Amino acid sequence: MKNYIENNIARFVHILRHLGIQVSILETLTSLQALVLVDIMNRDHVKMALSATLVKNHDQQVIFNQSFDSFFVAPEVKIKQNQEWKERQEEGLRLLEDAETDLAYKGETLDLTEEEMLYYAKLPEEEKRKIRDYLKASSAPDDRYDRFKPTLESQVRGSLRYWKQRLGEESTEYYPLHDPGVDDPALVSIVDELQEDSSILYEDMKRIGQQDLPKVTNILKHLSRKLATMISRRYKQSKKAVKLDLRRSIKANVRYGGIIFKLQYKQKRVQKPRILLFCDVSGSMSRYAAFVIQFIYGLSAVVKNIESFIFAEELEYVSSFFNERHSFEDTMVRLIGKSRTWGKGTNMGNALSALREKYPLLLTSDTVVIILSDTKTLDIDYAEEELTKLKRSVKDIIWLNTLPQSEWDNLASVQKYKRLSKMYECYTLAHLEKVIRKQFL
Amino acid sequence: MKRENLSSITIERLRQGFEKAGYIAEDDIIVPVYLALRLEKPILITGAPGVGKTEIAKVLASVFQTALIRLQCYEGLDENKALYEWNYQRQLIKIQLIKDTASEEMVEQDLFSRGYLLERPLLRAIQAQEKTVLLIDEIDKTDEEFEAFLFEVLSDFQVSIPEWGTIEANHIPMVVLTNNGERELSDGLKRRCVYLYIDFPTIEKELKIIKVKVPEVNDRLAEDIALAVHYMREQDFKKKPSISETLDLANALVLFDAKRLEEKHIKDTINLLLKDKEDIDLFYKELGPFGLVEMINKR
Repeated sequence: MKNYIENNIARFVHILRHLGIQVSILETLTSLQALVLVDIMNRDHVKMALSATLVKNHDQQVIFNQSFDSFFVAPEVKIKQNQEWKERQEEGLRLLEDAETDLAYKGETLDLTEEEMLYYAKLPEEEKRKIRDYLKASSAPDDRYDRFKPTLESQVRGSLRYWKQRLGEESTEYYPLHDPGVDDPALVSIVDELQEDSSILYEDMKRIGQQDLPKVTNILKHLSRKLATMISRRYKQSKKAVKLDLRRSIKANVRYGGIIFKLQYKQKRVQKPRILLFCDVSGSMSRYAAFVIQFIYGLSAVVKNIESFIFAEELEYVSSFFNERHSFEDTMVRLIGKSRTWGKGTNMGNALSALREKYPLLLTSDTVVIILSDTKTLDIDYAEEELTKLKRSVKDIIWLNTLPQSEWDNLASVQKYKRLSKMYECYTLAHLEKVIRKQFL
Repeated sequence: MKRENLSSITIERLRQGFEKAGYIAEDDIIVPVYLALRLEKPILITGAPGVGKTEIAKVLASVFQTALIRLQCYEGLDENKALYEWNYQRQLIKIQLIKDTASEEMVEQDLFSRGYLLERPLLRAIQAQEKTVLLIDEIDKTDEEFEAFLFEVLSDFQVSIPEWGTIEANHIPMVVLTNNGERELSDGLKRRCVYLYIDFPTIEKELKIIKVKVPEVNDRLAEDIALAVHYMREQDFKKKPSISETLDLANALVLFDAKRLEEKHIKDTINLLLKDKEDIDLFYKELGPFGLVEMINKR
C-alpha cells in the first residue's frame, strides 16, 4: 500500500503544498490520469507529466524540480535521507536540552525561541562561557532581582543577535525540530530542506548577503514587473465602460433619415498612473540601502517615466541615475557616491515640503506615491502636515514600512501616517510579493 | 502531410508531426502537448515573446490538418468580440423592409436566426463540424472579467445564447492559450489547463532551428549566429532577441552572402536583433561588434 503510485503522488502533492504551490484535488487527479498516458518507467516523462499538471507558473517550476528530485529517489537514497534527518533531529534535541540547562536564571529556563537556543548551542565555547558566566553573576540570591528575568532574556537575545551578525549567516544553519512521532519523516525532511533553500523570500532584506544579491535582483525585477502591469490594469478596469454614445449615433445616422443604423460607442480613455517613488535613505534605513536601490532599479526598468526621489534630511531627485541603465552595482556605487543626503538624519517633513514646492507638476490626480520608509523622522507633526497636503494633490499614497508590524503600535509616527496612506509591512521579498498580490492598486 | 488521428496519437508520432511541420521540439514540449491532447484539456503556454508559443497552435493545425481558429486578446476584449454578436445593422434594415408586411412574431423569429448572427472565434470553434485548433493568443492582455467568462466556456465547452438556448460543442477543440506573463492569471483558469513553459532554446537547439528554417546558411555561420544570439540573451537587455529574430538575422546574412559572422555584419544587422535604442546603446557600450566576434571565436 505504502508504495502505490497514488500514495506517492498524494505525498508529493503534500510536499508541494507545504512549499507554497497550491494544488487542488482536481489537479492531483489530472496528474494521475496523465501518468497513465506516459511511460511510467521513464523518469523524465513522469516528471514532465507531473510538472504539466501540477505547476502553474514559472516561479513554481524551480520548487517543483527540487521537490521532485528529492522525493522520487532510489529506495536506498531515501533510507539514507531518513537516517540523516533522524540523526540531525536527535543532535538538535540534544543541543536544545544543553542550551536549556545553560540558559537558565535561578533554575528557570529563559524564555527564548528554539532557534535562539540552537544558535547559542552552536556558538564557540568561549562565547558560551561568557554568556553562562554573565547569567551566573546575575543569579545572585537577591529578591531585588526577581523581576530581572525579562531584562536578562532581552540581553541574552541581543548578545545572540550580535554574534549572529558578527559570525555571518552561514553559522546559523537552522533545522526546525519536530515531534519524534512524526508520521512521515521523509516528507518532513524534504519540506525542511527545501524551505531552507527558498528562505530568501522570507529573509529580512537588511540581512541578505552580497552573494544573494543577483537572486534578489531577479525576484525584485519580476515583482516590479507584476506591480507595473497591475497598476495599469487596475486603472483600466475601473474606468472601463463601453457605452452607447447617443449624441454621436444620432449625428452619424442623420444621413439614413434619422433611423439609428450605425451605432457609435464611447469608452473612457485609459489613464495609466504616474508613479512617484519616495525612498528613505537616512541612517535608520541604511541597512535597507540595497533593498531600496534594488526596488527603484527594478521598478524603473519596467515602468516608463517613473520619478524617483530619495530623502533623509533633504530631498534628492535620482531618476537620472536609473534612467541611464547602468548595471545595478554601478548604479548603487554612483548613487551612494554622489548623494548628498545618504545616511543622514531624517526630516521627512522637509523632504515632502521640498517635493511639493519644487516638483508641483509631478503631483497630479494621476500620481501614485510609493513611500518606502520606517516612519522614523524628526518633527513627526510637520511630516504629518506635509503628508496631508500631499494626499490632497495625488491619487494615492502607498507606504511600504520596513518596520515589523508588531512594532507599529509603539510608534506615534506609524499611527499618524497610517491614517493618511495605505501602509503595508514590507521588509522581506515575501512581504513585497504579498502586497503586490493583494492588488492594492 | 498525412493527417494524424487524435485518438491514436503517441508521443513519438506527435514528435514526428512537429518535426515534419518544421518545429524543433524536445520531450519537454512534446509531452505536455501530448497530455493536453489526450486529456482534452486546454494547454496554457507561457514564456518570453518569440519563443514559439503561438507556433505550436499552427503546428497542431498542420499535424491534424484541421482549421486554426484564432482569438487575439487585447485590453477591452469582451464577449461580443470573442463569442458572438447580432448584426444590428442588418436587423435594422430588415425591420425597415418588412415592418408593414410581416407579423411581429415572424419578424422577431427571423431577426434572431443564424443569418443575423456574427460568429466570433469561440462560437466558431464550438460549432465547427470537426475538431479544430482554437488559439487564444496573449490571454494575459485581457482583463479578469473576460478571463472568468473564458474559463466557464473552457470547462464545459458550451455557450448560452439567450434567443437560442444552450449550444454544446460538436467536438471539443484543441485549445492553446498563450501567455507572455504580463500579469498573473487567475487560479481558476490555470487549474483547468495543462501547463507548459517554453524557455529560449539552448545553443544546440537554436542551431537545429536555424538549419531547418534557413537551409542556405552554412554550418559555421549557423553556429556563429546561435552563439551570438545566445550571448545577447544573457545580457540585461529590455527585449531579448527571439527565435524569429534569429531567423531574420540568418536570412539577412544569406542575402549578404556571408560565410562567417563578421564585425561589419553585426553593425549592419544589429537592428534585427535588438529593437530598443537603449539596448543597442548598451550593446555598443558593453561589448560592441568587435567584442562579440571575439567572444564567438573564443567559444
